Amino acid sequence: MPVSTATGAVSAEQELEQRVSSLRHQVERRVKADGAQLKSAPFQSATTVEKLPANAEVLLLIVTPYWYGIETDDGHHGWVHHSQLEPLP
Amino acid sequence: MHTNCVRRLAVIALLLSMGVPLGAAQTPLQRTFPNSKAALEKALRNLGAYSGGRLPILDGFVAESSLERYQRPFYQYSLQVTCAGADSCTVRVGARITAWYADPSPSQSGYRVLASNGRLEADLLDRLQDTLGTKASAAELPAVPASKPPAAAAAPEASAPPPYIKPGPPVAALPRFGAAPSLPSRAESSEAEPPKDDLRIEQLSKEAKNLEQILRNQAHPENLAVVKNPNVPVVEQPDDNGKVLFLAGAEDEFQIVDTAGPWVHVQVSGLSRGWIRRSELQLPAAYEGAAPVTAAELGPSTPFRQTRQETAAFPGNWEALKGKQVKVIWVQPASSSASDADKFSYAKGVFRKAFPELLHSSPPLAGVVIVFDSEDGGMAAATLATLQQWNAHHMTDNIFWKQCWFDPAEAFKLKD
Repeated sequence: MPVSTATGAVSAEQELEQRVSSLRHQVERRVKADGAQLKSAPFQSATTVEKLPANAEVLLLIVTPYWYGIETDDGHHGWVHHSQLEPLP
Repeated sequence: MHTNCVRRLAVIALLLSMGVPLGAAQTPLQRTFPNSKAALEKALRNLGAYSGGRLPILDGFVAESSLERYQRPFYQYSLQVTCAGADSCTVRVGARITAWYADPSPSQSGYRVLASNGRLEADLLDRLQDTLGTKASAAELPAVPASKPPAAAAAPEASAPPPYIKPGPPVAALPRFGAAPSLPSRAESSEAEPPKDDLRIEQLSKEAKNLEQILRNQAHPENLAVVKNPNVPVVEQPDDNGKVLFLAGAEDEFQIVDTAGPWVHVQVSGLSRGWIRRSELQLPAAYEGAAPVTAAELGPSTPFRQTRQETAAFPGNWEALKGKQVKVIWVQPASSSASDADKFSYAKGVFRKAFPELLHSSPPLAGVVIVFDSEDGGMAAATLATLQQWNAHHMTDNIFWKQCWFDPAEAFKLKD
């Protein structure tokens, strides 16, 4: 492969990696500590659907002032208080 | 179909109830390869197997034959790689296919999981085999269900969810990336196989597109009341002596149903409602100072009332607003005597009220959608540009309506 083509491909790949990384930082968060509660509604006395493990990455579907409506890796849905999640590293 | 869009929006906005249980049986396929686990996982990543995606059609991919009511199908692979030795690993593939089922009765509509007929799984195994340039030692076999692994099997791959379906609301079918879309490091790229730039770029492009779609669909509801202090009573009736349902905590959030003087009517969950004193709540700007748009405000005889509003991606297929962020305003009939003329009259009032808010929205919004949430409802939408001209009296009502979008058109009969 000519050097210029290879360089172009690497550059396109790097740009895409950066784009994906930036998007992931916008739509994902990480669970801060073991036992974060996934709730059925955005209030503390709502039913706890499950407890999430530390460092689990979740997808943000709904953003409100204090809660996130999220999807877990295994397809579960519910609400987590902002304080229990942190941005991806 | 408007019902489809209406329900999809409802699901994303609420995410409250445990919706339609998704539970179709599916049998994973597996094939054994003379390759290392790292090589197999790398090849699967390059094939985009962890990303999932949209299926153009369902026919030929699912076991079910009656498919005319299914729309917008998606698939997601579940993958496990287990090894018996350094160069003998079994790849087990399951495919979860979901699609919107549009039932004539809206209450029966929802996302459903369809049992895969095995084509997606077999296709992935074939593509994997082609990529590796090796011959699998056995044809694919139905795998042992994930919940009962054989005693000799290695531990399940942590990065791949088992192919069982748990109950969840319909947003399960939102396009998303794979369970662990970790990108191969530079060190990995310099391993045994040369990097396949095209495949890698294709995979990254797909992942970026999925993430962009998720970002576009991300909802930011504007009709939530936030509890300011701990131990705030949520009561059954708007009365300090009413039965206390429970005590809400600081930063708890509730969807606003309506307001009545010093009280705010909120949705607790599903059909359950409660009342909270307005002084205990932080309300969205649209509700502060003035009551939300209500039937009374728009005229005592109006047969509709606004139930909520939010900012979301445009829920229809209209080119003018497709993919753009819009204000979505939900209304419900307040009486059973609503006519088409009432619909237009009410929509006119809502568009008028929404326009000034739209001008000052941040981030900027491209238009307004009114969702008539009823059996014979539908959606009406207008772009910001059209609203601007109409509000400046540069166009008549009739011309304004002709520049609006209606779905389905038959639910809005415009008379000249």
